[in-house]
Amino acid sequence: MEKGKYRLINRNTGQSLRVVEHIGCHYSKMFPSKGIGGAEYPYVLTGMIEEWGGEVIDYPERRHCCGFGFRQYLVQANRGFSISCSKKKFDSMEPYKPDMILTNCPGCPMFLDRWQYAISEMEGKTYGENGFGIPVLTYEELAGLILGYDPWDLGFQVHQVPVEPLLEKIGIPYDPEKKFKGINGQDLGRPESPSFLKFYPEKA
Amino acid sequence: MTKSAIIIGGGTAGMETASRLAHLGIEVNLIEKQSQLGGHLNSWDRLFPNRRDSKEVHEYLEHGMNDAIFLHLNAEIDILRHESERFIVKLKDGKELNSDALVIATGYEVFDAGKKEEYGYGIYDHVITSVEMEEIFRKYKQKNLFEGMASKRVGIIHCVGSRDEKAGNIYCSKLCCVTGVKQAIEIKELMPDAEVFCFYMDLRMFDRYFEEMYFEAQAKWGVQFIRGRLSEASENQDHTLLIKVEDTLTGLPLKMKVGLLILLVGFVPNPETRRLAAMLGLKEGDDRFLCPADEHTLTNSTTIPGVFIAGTVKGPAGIASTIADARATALQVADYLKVQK
Repeated sequence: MEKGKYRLINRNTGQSLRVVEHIGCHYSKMFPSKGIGGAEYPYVLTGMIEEWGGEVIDYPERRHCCGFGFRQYLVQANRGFSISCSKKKFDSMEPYKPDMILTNCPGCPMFLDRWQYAISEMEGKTYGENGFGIPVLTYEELAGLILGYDPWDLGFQVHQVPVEPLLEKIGIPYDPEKKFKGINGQDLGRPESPSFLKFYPEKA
Repeated sequence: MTKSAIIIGGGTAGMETASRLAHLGIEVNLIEKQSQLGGHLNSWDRLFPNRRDSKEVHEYLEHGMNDAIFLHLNAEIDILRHESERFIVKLKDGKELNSDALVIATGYEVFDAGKKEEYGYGIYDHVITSVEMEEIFRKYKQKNLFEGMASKRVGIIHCVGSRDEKAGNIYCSKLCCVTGVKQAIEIKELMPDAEVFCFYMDLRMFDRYFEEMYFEAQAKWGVQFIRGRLSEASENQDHTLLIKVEDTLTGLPLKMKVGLLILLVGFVPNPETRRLAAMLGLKEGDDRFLCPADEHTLTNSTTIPGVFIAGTVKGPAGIASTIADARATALQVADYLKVQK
């Protein structure tokens, strides 16, 4: 079997990266017998993280909702439920100092990523190191990074929480100048900097 | 000629059946897989409802063991056969026994709490079963139970593996409720500053003095009873546990930090019972416990003449009713042997 190009090891400390895994509701709740590792605590993401050298964090709100859920987000009046769900998770995982969050659903990363920005604007609170957020990746994105794809080809520029701190830890090279260039090299413009959540790395 | 019986299982039911049969002049072979008699009785510290030492009951049963009883300890059954009114048992060490009657008293096992993985048993250190709590009571009569624990709050979870369709057991194990109440009182006796919470669906205080114990737990010891099932337990950084429960009387979700979580594990049929039943062709119910010949009138015999069942092979039962059932079984066996040619 072909080995990945990178591992989930902090190249500065030699320690495994600490990863929060979040299983999407739909992964095994409809068909409990199909869940890899069972329906209660599926192993599917944990297995990937461990295989790639990372360490899974078991924190109290590990199984709490990501903050999506159609009724709590799509009904605008209920969005307070959505963001408070995500906040509950962030508050619970924060003391464990996660390096990243890995998900297996298209909805979860959206909410875990965007609400970090919203919480920072509402309360001035950020959850990552040095004013950054905790990068949120889908397993496809992480697999792409491990295999050695260019982060900007994988579309990381559309994340609200920048992934650069994670790339630095793993030791994945990236060109800051390329982040906001389209496929044809055309400049796409730059988003405004949030008030509290650090968006542009100092190096850039 | 002396009539004989083989009893499989040397727990409460097997010991009492053996003692009574021997008393009636019947030759008994008692087969036990462990190195000592007593079965689950050896795991309990004190017994409900009067909290006497379980050793006293063990001593009583031991007293009934006499020369007419041939003991086979550390004995595992290889083959069990029924041949023209004789029962032939081949042990794994090669020994062969035969008799005119057979009593199955192989008892039960406690539910494997690891199957409810959302409760964290086997994952977190401070999640234990009620059986392990009994061991702790035995060992640490004087000791601080909470040494090194960041919280003096204890959660006791009822119906673990019982009345639970997901666990595959829809029956009630009926004795966990009173075990929970007993352990709650004992924790308060040992550690008056502990806070004890029981999480239940219903409290089934069916037997004599059980309701009184439940009342005592609340009135005298301040044990709190919350109606609701545990949804999950997870661990905090200081190794205390965060439990999530719905309080169904207030209709609100509840989160609580506890230092110790005790899971009241229920009865499940002993796999060995099922293996023996399959060899003989005995019927088991939907709950996988053995079926008697008649649910009301022939609860000690089976559909096979000469094969009898005693104790918890038929479902959850406490020690007093197991002893009573064992005596009834002995009488049935004696009656059967009397008319048998």
